[in-house]
Amino acid sequence: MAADAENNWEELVLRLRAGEEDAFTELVRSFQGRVYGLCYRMLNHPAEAEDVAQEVFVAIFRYIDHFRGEGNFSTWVLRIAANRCRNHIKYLKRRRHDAKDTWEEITEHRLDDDHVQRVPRPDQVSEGLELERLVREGLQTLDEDHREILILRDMEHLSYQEIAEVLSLAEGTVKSRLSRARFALRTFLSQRYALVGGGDG
Amino acid sequence: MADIHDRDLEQLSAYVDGLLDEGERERFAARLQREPALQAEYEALRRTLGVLQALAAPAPEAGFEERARKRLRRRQDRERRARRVRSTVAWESTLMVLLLLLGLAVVAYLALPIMLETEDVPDPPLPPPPHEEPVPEEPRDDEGAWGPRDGGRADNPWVGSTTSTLPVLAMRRVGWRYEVRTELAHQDLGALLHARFGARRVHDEGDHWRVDVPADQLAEALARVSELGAWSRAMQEEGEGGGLAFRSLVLYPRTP
Repeated sequence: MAADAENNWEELVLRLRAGEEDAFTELVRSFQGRVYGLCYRMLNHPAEAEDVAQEVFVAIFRYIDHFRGEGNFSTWVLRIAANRCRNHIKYLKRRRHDAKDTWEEITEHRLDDDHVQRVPRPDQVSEGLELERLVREGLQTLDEDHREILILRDMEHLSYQEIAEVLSLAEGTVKSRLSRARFALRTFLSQRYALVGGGDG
Repeated sequence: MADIHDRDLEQLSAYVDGLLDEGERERFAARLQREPALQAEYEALRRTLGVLQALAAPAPEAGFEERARKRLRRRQDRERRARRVRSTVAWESTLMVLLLLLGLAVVAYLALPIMLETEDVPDPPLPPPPHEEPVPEEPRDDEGAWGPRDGGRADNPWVGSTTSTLPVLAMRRVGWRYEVRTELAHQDLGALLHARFGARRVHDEGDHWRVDVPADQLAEALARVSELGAWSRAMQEEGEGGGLAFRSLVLYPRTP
């Protein structure tokens, strides 16, 4: 998230409420990384992720009056994104969407453009892509509640309190659910990636 | 993992995140030293989190902002069109309702009299009698008694007993009397009627004569009228017609 938007979200909210299109652009520019990242991790499909992420920004622009300013604006944005992702997953399930079909597409896509911001050395590309693939596959083995909490904590680096706000959960629930999600992913990776290892890996 | 419980996993997760207070942290660190399984899980978790944090953050394809703006504009245009359509539909609906109400009102206006007539159809008016004549006034004292008027009751036997056999032009019951309309012309007819039936001319009714006939002699009276009529026509054809013509003969029933 851009630091200026995070620090000056009150002004941004005022401009959004005024319907300024420039404010919408700034909103997208400031939050696209986190929103798209959450959507991408949750949906495991770049096109679906972009579609949902754009819907998130349009929804924020349309319903900005619903933000009462009591909490953190970025938390509110991520809450909308998380809700949209959950709804979209339900929608895709209804359509019997098979996200696993997109693995090859994603891999080639990421090699061709700047989808991966941090590119390892050429000799690390193969291992990095394999690890990326394993993590995404592991995330998809988690149920949605565990997946989103793990993404928010270990990939988006939200605090427990922020996660509780985003997901409307008690912090104790966040704590226990996160530990189970981590253990599940650790177990998955241990069985496929020697570097992780572990008690039963 | 048999030795590690959910509670341990929660503490391990919190320990990795640095969320335990100082005392808890020290106690958990001591456990890690003592329990190899817990220590192995701790190491595996650290490596897992390291893998996650080493992953690149996914970023949308270039042009995401522009595509988002376009989507917003499309959505706004669509909403504006939808608002216009809703407004138009609302006006059209209102207009349709008003037209419908107007149509119903017109139909009701046109159909109401018919419905009322249908619901309460009065009996068709009886055709007027072919020769409505005023009820004869009360007989004057100088004309003598005309018999009791209550003789013309509804069950009077004169009705229907004479019309099929007598050459009368019309016969009707008017109140308490019976009126036979025929055409007679003879200057002595009045005297004949008087001599035979005791008929008396009503002066203020022109050629109308009143005959007071007993009920049981009605047929004979009418036959006599018929004979007189035939005789009168014959006289007229021979050029000897009398100057007195009767347009109608009123027969008053007289109770025996």
